[in-house]
Amino acid sequence: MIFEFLSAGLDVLLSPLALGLTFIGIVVGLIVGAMPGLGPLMGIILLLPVAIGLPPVAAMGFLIGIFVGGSCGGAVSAILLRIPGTPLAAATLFDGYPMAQKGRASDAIGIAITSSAIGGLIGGVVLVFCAPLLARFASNFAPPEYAMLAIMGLFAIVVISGGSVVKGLLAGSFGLLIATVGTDSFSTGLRFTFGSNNLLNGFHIVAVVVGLFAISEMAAQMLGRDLLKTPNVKVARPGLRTVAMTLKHSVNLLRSSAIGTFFGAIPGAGGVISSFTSYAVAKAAAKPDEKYGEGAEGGVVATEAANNATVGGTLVPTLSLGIPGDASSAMLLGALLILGFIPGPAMFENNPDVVGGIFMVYLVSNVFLLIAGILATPLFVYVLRVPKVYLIPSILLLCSIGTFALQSSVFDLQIMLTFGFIGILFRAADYPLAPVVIGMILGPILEANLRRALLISRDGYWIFVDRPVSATLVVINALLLVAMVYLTFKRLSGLKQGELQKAMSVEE
Amino acid sequence: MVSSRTLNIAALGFLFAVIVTVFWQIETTFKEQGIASGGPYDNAAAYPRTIAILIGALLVVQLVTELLRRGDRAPAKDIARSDLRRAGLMLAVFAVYLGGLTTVGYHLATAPLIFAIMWICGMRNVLKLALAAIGIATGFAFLFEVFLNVVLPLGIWDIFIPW
Repeated sequence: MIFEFLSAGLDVLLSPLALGLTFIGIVVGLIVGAMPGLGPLMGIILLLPVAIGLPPVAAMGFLIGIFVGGSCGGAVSAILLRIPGTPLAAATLFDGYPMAQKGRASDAIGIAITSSAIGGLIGGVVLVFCAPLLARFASNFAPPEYAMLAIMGLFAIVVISGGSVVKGLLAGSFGLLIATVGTDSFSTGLRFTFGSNNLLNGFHIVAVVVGLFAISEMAAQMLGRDLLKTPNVKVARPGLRTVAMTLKHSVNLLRSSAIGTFFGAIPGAGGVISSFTSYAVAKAAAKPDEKYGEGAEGGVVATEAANNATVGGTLVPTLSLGIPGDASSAMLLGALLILGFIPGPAMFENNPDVVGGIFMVYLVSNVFLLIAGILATPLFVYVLRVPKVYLIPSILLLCSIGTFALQSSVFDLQIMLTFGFIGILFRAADYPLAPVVIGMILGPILEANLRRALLISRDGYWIFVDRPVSATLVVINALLLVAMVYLTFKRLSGLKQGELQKAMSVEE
Repeated sequence: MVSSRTLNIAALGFLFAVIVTVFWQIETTFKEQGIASGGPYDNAAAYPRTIAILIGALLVVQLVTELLRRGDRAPAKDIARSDLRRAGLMLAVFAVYLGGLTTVGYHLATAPLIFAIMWICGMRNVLKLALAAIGIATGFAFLFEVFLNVVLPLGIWDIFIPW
């Protein structure tokens, strides 16, 4: 079964367009990952309008390339500037920057790239073996299971991703509500269209996401005072000897990749948690003379192998169940939907070439990462030198043209700007943005399956507990709900104690 | 300086407005179309109504949290007024650009947008500004029009570059 997918995928992969775009995706991903404030999610969002006009596997190769490259690119700025290009590379600072200070910047970058590529490949092997099995298991799922899975995806992201549970749930619910705008697929009634024909199909997800993330991020960047500053960074090209250096840490590499893949497969956990966890595990398992935190190669290996292995892990539930693991995989899922494919067991059955193609582009993208990363490091260092004064207008322009190009619609631009303002408000009030996107993607799946389940049910809502898998998912959702209530009360009691301490300190 | 509490209240106010809109729409246009009640097939209002109720309940919890931290009026972040003005100006210029894009057309509107944003960022070398603005605007137009076959807004004067 697995080899059928791979051979079908190989046929589609071996085209100059698919291979070329996967390579370009890697280079673009490394660049957006290296630039502080951007990252793989922003790269996927900005270039999604370009991808959706392409053949499916080439488009997914391009986007997955950005995801893979972007997950690694953050290490470059973390090592050279002590600023992680993405939160994924935050743990790389601990040993990457000290290595650079000791004059080993090119070694650190080479080790980061090699670890990322190998970690990504290990994640890819897990993806190739586990996704079809999970899809086969899920092929017996009916609307009640899918409805419960959609709720579980949203709950898990809110609970695991940290921050305020209530704010996460509010953001996710807002996303669910946005998804209801347009023509109802059951009754064909019009919902929240306000008499506008432009809203008959709802909001275009790209316009919403570009506004929420990119416009609000550019506004946040404008608050900085380093807009004209050119960072002074110099680095030599890392050689192939860094591959050998990385392979010396083979146990660390395998263990960190396994941790990354595991956390990737859990919706909401993502690369940040996996990289910090694998760093902590590697540090605990290290010998004292390795000196973690003072420029240990093993520290860079652990964090980078884990955060790229996460990509493979996160694609498992995304492709086999249609439940995204994080915001970036939610965008990949959105791209597949726009391209006309519905991720889940049916896609494995009906479109083995697309599924196999995605497996192959993911595996190949990690090989390309190694090649492009080692060869083109000077390019990424050069990009780090570009002042924000040039980047901000360029990204705003890319947002505008990209969103306009979706449907040649000025209305989409207005939606983008409106959601830009909402994104700014949410960021300022410390609301997470990822649950909005995931809610918007899971919303139609949840509503359609909820209503279908009730239509086929003879006992109303009892259908959700009558079926064993659905009942298990109901229990998991209930546990997640209990966890959310617990976390909220814990936070509230923490606030009360904080107030008390504040009052006492004032009295003193 | 805006306090973090004010920002939280503003976000809650926005979400409250969203709930009000949901119920107002259900009571008006949904009922007019006959999709506000019935079974799972016909009732298109049940799901958004449930989500709106959920948001309402969460708003109450969040409001209680805000009230519990009533002593906390600390500024959200240490942001200077001049930095806020810069971000606000950028958004205003960008909004004007998007508003006038179809009338003026991409090729006439874009270079001034980039020039203005770079000026707001603090760049003052006019020659450098002009060259960068024209270069970035033309570069993106070339990329999208030639490689991706996108027809950018021509404006009322039908201005285009015959690549």
